[in-house]
Amino acid sequence: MYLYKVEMADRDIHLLQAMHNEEVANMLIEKNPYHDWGITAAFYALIHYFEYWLFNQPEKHTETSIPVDKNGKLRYTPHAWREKLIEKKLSKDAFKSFRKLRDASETARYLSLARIQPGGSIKWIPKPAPQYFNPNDAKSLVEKALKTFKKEIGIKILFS
Amino acid sequence: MNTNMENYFEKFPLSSDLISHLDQSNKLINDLSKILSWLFQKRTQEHSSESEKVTEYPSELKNFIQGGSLTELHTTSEEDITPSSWLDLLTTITEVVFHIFSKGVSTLFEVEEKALLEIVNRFSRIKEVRSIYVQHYQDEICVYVLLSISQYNERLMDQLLDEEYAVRKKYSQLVFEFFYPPAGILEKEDFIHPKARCIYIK
Repeated sequence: MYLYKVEMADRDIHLLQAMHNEEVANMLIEKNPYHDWGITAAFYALIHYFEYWLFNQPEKHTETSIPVDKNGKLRYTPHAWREKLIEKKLSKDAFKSFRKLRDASETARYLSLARIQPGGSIKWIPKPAPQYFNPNDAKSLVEKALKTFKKEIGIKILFS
Repeated sequence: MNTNMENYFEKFPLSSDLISHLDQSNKLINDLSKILSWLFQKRTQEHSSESEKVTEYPSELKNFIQGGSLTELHTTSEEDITPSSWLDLLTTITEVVFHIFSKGVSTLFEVEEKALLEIVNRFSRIKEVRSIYVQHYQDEICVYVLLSISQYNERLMDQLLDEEYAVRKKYSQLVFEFFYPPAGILEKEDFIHPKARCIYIK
């Protein structure tokens, strides 16, 4: 088993990791109040699905294809460059699916924000991510985004 | 000049829009082609004496190409082009080529400013958008669109991402990062770097 894993191509590793993350996402979005972490797991599933697809493209990996300046310094972050590749190479629907999950997962991880109270006054309202994301919204977001993105890059895998 | 041009194209690779522009610029390309032919004919004449007027050729060439008239060039008196001036002429040709390639294309800074104006125009029409901040990280443009919402809103995200996608496609030579933090309108210091530039606030 160990040797088999070592010999596997990077591409297959990305697929296995994507499937694993998707399984975790599907479990978490059903378990209120942990559905916010389901969004994050789904985003990391999409990253690995994309890297799996990108492996057979000229760029091969996001990180190794980032343009550099004349001094060899990276011009963009991996996240920004990955989104550029998705925008250029995939459909608008796939792009939006990826962006929705990235944005929602960042909000889910870093939410600690000011809110506008009813009546217009501005106060700090502590509201953790599970309350910001309605469980049904989170489930819908994850399921639609994964379905759209996987269809775009030609992956048809069903979890029982 | 060459270094500047390399820097320019490194920062600003040829886009499909530019290629399309060049396709439409047949007249300028033809003019350049004729000028190059004219110069090579001059070069093969192998004159050795330095002409006092030879240094005027570079500026004349620029004027010809920018004015789009070759008649004047062909009727110019037969001045010598010496080996020592050949490099200057090549430099001028490079400048002319650069001029053609950059014609109709703004500088990167101008393109970015146009993109930011478009971002403000598009996003300010969305009710939930309270402010927009911009900051650079390396060569990417980070755009923070602060939202006055307290609950995730799928419909709103669709609307925001439609606008983002349109901006990205229109300004494909730029690399953006968009963020949509749900935030109050006054406490920007908690999300945004103090040096970020506010380009819109309601």
